[in-house]
Order: sequence, then structure tokens, then C-alpha cells
Amino acid sequence: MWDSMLSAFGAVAQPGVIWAVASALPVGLLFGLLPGLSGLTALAVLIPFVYGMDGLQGLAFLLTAHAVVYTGGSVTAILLGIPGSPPNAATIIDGVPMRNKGLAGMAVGAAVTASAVGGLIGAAVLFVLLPVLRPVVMAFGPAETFVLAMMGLTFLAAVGTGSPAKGLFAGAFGIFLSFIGYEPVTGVPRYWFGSEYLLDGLRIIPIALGIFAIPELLALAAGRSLARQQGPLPGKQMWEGARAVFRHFGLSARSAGIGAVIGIIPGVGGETAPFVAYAAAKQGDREPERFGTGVVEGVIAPESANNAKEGGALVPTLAFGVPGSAGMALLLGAFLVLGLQPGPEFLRLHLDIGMALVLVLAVANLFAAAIMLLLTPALARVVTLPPALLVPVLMALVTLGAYSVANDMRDVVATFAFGALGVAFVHFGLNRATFLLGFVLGPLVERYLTISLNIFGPSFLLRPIVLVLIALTVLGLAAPRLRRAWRRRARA
Amino acid sequence: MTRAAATSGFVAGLVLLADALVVWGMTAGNYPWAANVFPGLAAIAITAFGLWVIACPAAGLEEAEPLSLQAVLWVAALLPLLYLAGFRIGLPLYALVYALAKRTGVLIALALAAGVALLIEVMFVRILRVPLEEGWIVERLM
Amino acid sequence: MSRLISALAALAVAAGLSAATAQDDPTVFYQGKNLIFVVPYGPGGGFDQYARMLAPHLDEKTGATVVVENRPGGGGMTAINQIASGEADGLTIAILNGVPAALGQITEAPAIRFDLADLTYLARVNAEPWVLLVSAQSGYDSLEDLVQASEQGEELTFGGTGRADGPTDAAAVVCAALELNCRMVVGFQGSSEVSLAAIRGDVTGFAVTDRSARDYSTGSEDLVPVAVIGRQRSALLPDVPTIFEAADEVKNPFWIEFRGGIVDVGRAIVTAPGVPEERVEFLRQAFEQILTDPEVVAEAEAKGLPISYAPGSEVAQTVKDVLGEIPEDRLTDIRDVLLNRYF
Repeated sequence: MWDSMLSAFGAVAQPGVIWAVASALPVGLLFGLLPGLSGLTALAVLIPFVYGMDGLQGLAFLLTAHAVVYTGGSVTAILLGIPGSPPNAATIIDGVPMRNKGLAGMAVGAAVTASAVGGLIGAAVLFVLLPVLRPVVMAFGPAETFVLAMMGLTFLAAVGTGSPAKGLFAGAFGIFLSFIGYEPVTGVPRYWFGSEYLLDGLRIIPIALGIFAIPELLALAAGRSLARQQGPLPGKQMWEGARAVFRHFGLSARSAGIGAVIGIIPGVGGETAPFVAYAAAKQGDREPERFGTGVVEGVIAPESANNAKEGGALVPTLAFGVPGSAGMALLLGAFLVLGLQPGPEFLRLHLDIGMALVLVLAVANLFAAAIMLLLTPALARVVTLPPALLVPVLMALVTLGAYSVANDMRDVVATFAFGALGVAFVHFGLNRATFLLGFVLGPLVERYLTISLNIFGPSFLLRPIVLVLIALTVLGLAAPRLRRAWRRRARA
Repeated sequence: MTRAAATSGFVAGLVLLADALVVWGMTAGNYPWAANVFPGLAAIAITAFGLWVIACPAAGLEEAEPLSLQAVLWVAALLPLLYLAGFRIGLPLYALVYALAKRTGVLIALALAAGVALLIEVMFVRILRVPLEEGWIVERLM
Repeated sequence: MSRLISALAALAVAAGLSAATAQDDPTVFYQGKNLIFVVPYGPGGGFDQYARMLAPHLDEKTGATVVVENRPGGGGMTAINQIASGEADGLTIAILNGVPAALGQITEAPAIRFDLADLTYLARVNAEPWVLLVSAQSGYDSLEDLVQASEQGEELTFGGTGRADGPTDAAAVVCAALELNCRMVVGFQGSSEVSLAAIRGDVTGFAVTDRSARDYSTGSEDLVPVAVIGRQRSALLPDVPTIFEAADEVKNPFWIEFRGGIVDVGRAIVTAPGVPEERVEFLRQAFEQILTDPEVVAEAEAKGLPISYAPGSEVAQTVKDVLGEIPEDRLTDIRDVLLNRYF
């Protein structure tokens, strides 16, 4: 084990690998910053470049690009209210109110630092689990995935700000829309009415772009500027934000843990982790009502989870060759191109490569944070640009991003359509974050409940980890009430 | 109409839409019963929560941000423009026209349009090799 | 003067004729034009890799500028719909996933609006036999074990992603051929998730391509390949018996032949129906040269992309044989096995 580590250090310290990481960093960050371009697109674009590289170099290149996307994406989410990629949508909940209060610099500083901390913790989790990857992945089957998805759903109410009725309504509607398209088990296409576009189901990027970006852009176009510049200069704010991550280190670590665990489970997508972390942070806080008004904890939790989940996603990928996320699926392809085959053999023969990847992940996250922190003062000034200039550029990025998902103009139309929906939601006080969360979780709940019943019958509920997860869910929901009762008793 | 009333209307509309779709699936759509279960559950949730919202529609409404028709038109106009002129011409054109309409200096507007065109060329055409829509007009000309 | 005019006229006619012929000459036609190579899936996957590997070679052989374009959607079928109804100028080709396309057409899947028999086939790049894998947790380690267990009333479960998707129908075909007591468990997101379920022992087994089977089973004892679903063994797993060798009696060999035919369509290069003969011939020749060139094959192998070439005409014939004129009752039977019986 120790020789593997030493060998890993040696392998990573090669100039070729360092160069690969260094060149992939700005690419990943850029893809994160540009709305609509996700980590998936980054990987797809970069794979051809990898053909010429040797093993670790190519992997380091791809992994770096993918892992830092969310660090870049958080900046766009906070400054512009547009999620750089769907997992950054959770950062908008508190990030945008912070920006509106003139605390954009602090929010970005916190988000970026939390990303780094989360990424490091995710890498550490991967490292610790490397020798025991197989039992861990084996433990989380369809039954556990279902309960986790249900847990996410129950936190829907927690994620919402303002009226719980409206939050739940939006979430339920999101769940419903997710059922358009092929039903996973019977293969019957639902509610598609002959439209080829709807046959595959609605795509998340046009939805996320539409409901968040278009209302923001409308407000900009109506003349509202992004923030009134109160408070200290962006530079100073930034360090405040960074320090906040360490002041709330327990929160950062817990959120990272949640992100890593969710990342390990192959079926659950990356969008869920930040929302669950956010909800957990809110439920666990002494004053949950503050969340949503623009508190730094609301930014730290999702961003920390976002980057930690990358470390988690590597677990099933390396242990079984089962991709932990769509991005990992592409990374797997790269493994094959480079002549490596992840799976049980892989870890036995190439444990050092596994560890080297952990190192790469850690280093990439650190440097990504450093770069973004350097750029933040400049980036934060974007907020002060005249809307006349911002609107066309952002509209360009949004439409290009939507189009690039599948080279399909209909995605652009969908973005506008969901933009209209988003405007309605904002106008009527319905929660867009809960809507997105419902949309993401709907298919998971259906799919994995059906599979669980098919394999185990109703007794799947009695599996050990399932019971633990159910207990955690109940605890999480009851937490604020328990806390209040405990405080009352303490006062009496 | 007050915003609260409009909210109720909107929510009611969505509830009816969801319920109608589910009923359609169960009857004319001929979906196997298993395929109707989850949408049915979701529709029940939508109806229940929807009714709860309609009961107190004013909750959670913040100070009104009036919707500007002009802004809506500007934003919406981009879509037909893209269909007509494609991305490579349409987006820089949009930038130019928008900046000029908002009374930015001509030089700055031109620079903005050039910047957008450059971004498209470098990022999307060269690097990403995305096959961008050319637009109806360009296709007629070619 | 009139001689000059007749000379000019002759020149004009000659120029006109050679221009017309040039248009007919595919070498000239393709020179410098954009040849779009459509991949019906997103970037990075197997089909995308094949296309991107072949593109530069095609570029060289045809003189055209080959552009790889990803058009995902409809499980890979939307792009083929577009090809089938697109311009018949020979400037757009696609790499087809034969197995789901054929199965989809037979089961009348909503995503499919083409008829495979209409498409123009340029070449087959690869055809992979399918292999049945069994979970070590199940306690079975050979096909005969499965047959005996089934005869004793045990239910065998096989994992898949949906209906007529590849893994599910391959397993269904085995069950029909051997008259096993089977049930399909579907809904997983991709065959790798199915493999995980099998490793856990949640399902008895599953079917995948031989390449995937080799990747999943080499070096681990969790999954055991028990049979190749076809008449010939796989080059990648030479020790795995065919279903005919492994089972004492294959009661309904039709199912194996049926699926074997579909597998033979494999990853094929297609273009629109009605493309002029000379251009089709030109492209077919180009692909033949590329896919039989030992250097290209070696290069592809090194990237994990095996090649097993078949000429376009042969693929077209296979499609006709498999899909053409299936008698109504047989068709009902097929649809029942693929979509109903084991669910």
C-alpha cells in the first residue's frame, strides 16, 4: 500500500502529468463558467486530445477538466443567477440573494473555497475507501438508491424558501414533468403526443437554463442592474467568504460527506447531492428561516457537496467499471482508449494509478480554487457592467449552451418555453429550485422502486442500510422541531 | 386581477393540466396500468398541494417586480432571429441592435458585436466544432 | 468563320459533356465536399469512437472533408430517421446500431420511422456475438445448471435496461430457445449497472456483447460466462462454449438463428435510400479498402475497437433475410417473446 502511494506521488510529479493538469484546469473552469456547457461537454471535447497522451497523463487531463467545472459554475450561479451547470442550481438559492445584498464577493469567495474543501474531502474519502471499494459499492443497491431518492424528495419542503405549500407544489409538478418520455420498465412512452423531441423526455439543461436564466435576463433587460454596490470591496469580501468556510468547518465537512456518499451511488445523478446537502444544512441549523435570504452557509453546503461527489463518483468507476455519473461514463471510455480496464483487476494491478487519480483530484481542486480566487475581484465587477452589454452576451451564451447539448434547435425553443414558465414561477412565488429537484428525482423514485419490488418484493424495506436511511430521513425532517422542543425544555 | 388571484389561477391551471394528462393516459392513451401509477401519484400530490396553495395564494409573494413588456419582446425576439439568421450572424446582429437601441455608443456596440462573433467562432466553431444552425436566410442564399 | 464557330461549338459540347460526366464521376464529385458522418449517440461512446477513428481514413480515400456530427436522441434512432428521409446525394452517412434498430422495427417501437430494408448499406464495421453471464452468487456455473434449475421450478431472473434493448432480448431469446422459466428485471440505467446487480446477486444473470462480457468477467470470479448466444464461439472468449455446445438440447433453435441474424447487421455504415449507384460503389470501395487494411485494423484494435468487416451488399442481404417477409404468426410469436412472455 505504501509503495503504491510513493509510486503514485512519483507518477503524478512527472512534467507530463503536471502539464496535463495545468492545461485542463482553465478549460474545466471555462466550461463551468459558461452556462449550458457542462462537464460532459468538456469531456466530450477533450477526449480526442487524449488519444496522443499516455495513461496517467490522459486520465489526469480529463479528470481535472471534469472535476473543476462546478467551481467555475458556482461563480456564474452567484454573479448572474444562471447555473453554470445543473448542479450549481442549488447555489442560486442563497447565492443570488447575497449578490443582491451587495455581498457577491463574499458569496463567490465562500463558494470557491467550499468547492476546494469539498473536493479535497471527496478525494480523501476516495483514498480511504480505495482498499475497500468493492464492499462499499455492493452495499448500495436499487433498494438503497430508492430510499435515498425518497429522502431527497422529503427534503423538497426543506429546500424551498417561503411558503411550504408552493415549494411542495412546484416540486410535485417537477416530478410530474419528469415522467414525460419512456417509462423505464415497461418501455411505454408517456405524454409525448407524437413529438420526437419529447420521446426521450425533457432534458435538464434547457430546463435549468430556461427557468433560471431567462427571468434574470428579463430583469436585466428591464433595466434592473445586478446589484447595488454596498459593503466592502469584492477583494476583501472574498477573503471573508473564504474564512467563513473554515469558521463553519463542520458544515463544510458534513456537506462534503453527503456529496461523496451520493456520488458513490451510481444511479443517483450529480444534481441531487447539492440539494440534499443544502437541505441538511438548513435542517441542522439553529435558525433555518435564515436560509434563502442570503446566508453564506447556504452557499457553502451545496458547493462543498458538488466537488466532493466527484471523488465519490470515481469509486464505482474504478472498482467495477460502472460509471458513477454520466461524466464518469466518458472517463471510462478514456480509460479504454488509454488501454486500461477499470474493475477488480484494475485495482489489484494498478492501485498506484488509483491513488494517483486521488492526488490529481486533490491538486486540481486546490488550484482551481486558487485561480478562481485570483480572478474573483475582476469577475465580481461583471455585476456592475451596464445591462445593455450584458444582456446580448448572456443571451448568446444561453442559446449556444442550450443548442450545444444535442445540436438541436428544439432545445433552444425548450429553453425559451421553460423561460416563460420560470417567469411565471417567479411572478407567482413558486420555487424553482424545488421544481428542478423534483424533476431530477422523479425518474429515480419510479425506476428504483419498481426494480426493488421486482427483485425483493416489499421486504426490501427491511434491508439494514435501507432502515438506516429511513431513520436518517425521519431524523432530518424532525430535527428543527426537536431542536425547538429541546431549547424550550432547556429554558424552563 | 390581484397577483394572489392570478397565482391561484395559474396553479389551478397546472393542476388541471396534470390531472387531464393522467386521465388521458389511463383512458384514451391506453398505457399499461403500471405506467400510470407514478404519474397518478404525482398528480394526486399536485392536486393536494395545489389546493393548499389556492387556499392561501398570497403567501411567499415578495414586493412586485413589474414585468416589462419591452423586455419580454427583446428577449423573445432572439428566437425567431436565430431561426432566420442562424447563430453566427444572428447573435452578433442581436448584440449590435440591442446595444444601439439602449443608446450605447456606436463604437462600443460594434465592439460588442465583434466580441460575440469572436466568442462564437473560437469557442463553438473551432474548438467545440458544434454544427451551428445557419438560419433560413443563409440557407436560401447558399 | 464557320469553322471557328463549329470549333467553338464542339469545344462547348465537349466541355458540357465532361462537366456532366464529372458530376457522374464520384472521385470528382466528392473532391473537397463536406461528407457528414453522423453518430446517433453522444460524444465519447463506442460508436462515436469508431466514427472518429474512421473519419480521417475516409477523408483520405474519398478526397472529401469528413465531419463527424453527433445527433443523439431516441435511443440512437432519431438520427437514422433523418438519414432515411434525407437527401439522397451521398453526402450524409451514418453509423447504425443494427441490433436495437432491427429489434425496434420488429417490435414497432415508436421511435422508429424508417425501414431498415430501404437504407443503403456501405459496409459493416463490426458485429459482436452476445454472451450469457451468470452471477457467482446464484450458485449456477453452467448453462446445464440453469436448464436443470428451471426444470425443477426455479425462476431465473435476468437483468436489462428496458424492452428489446439488447441485454433483455438476448436473454429472452435464450429462454425461448431452451424453454426456461425466466423473468426479466429491467429498468437499470445501462449494462454496467446491470452487471453490478448481477455481481450483487440481485439477478441470476444477464447478456451482453462479448467485449463487455470479457471486460466484466476477466480477473473476477463474480460473473461466469456460460454460453455464446450463437453458432460460433467468440474470438475474445475462446473458452466459452456456444449455446449449442453447452446445452444438452436446444429445443427451439429458431430463436438463436433469429437473433444471430440481427447481430450480423451489427455496426453498419448506412446512407439514404436512392443515392446514385456510382457514389454508393465509390463509398463501398473506400470502406472496403479501409476496413480490410491490416494497419487500420491494428490501429483500431489498439484503441479497443475491434473490426469484423462485411461488404455493404452482404449487410443489405442479411437485413432482407432477417426482416423481410416474416409470416404473421411468427411475428406475433417474436413480439411476444421480446416484449411480453418473460416480464
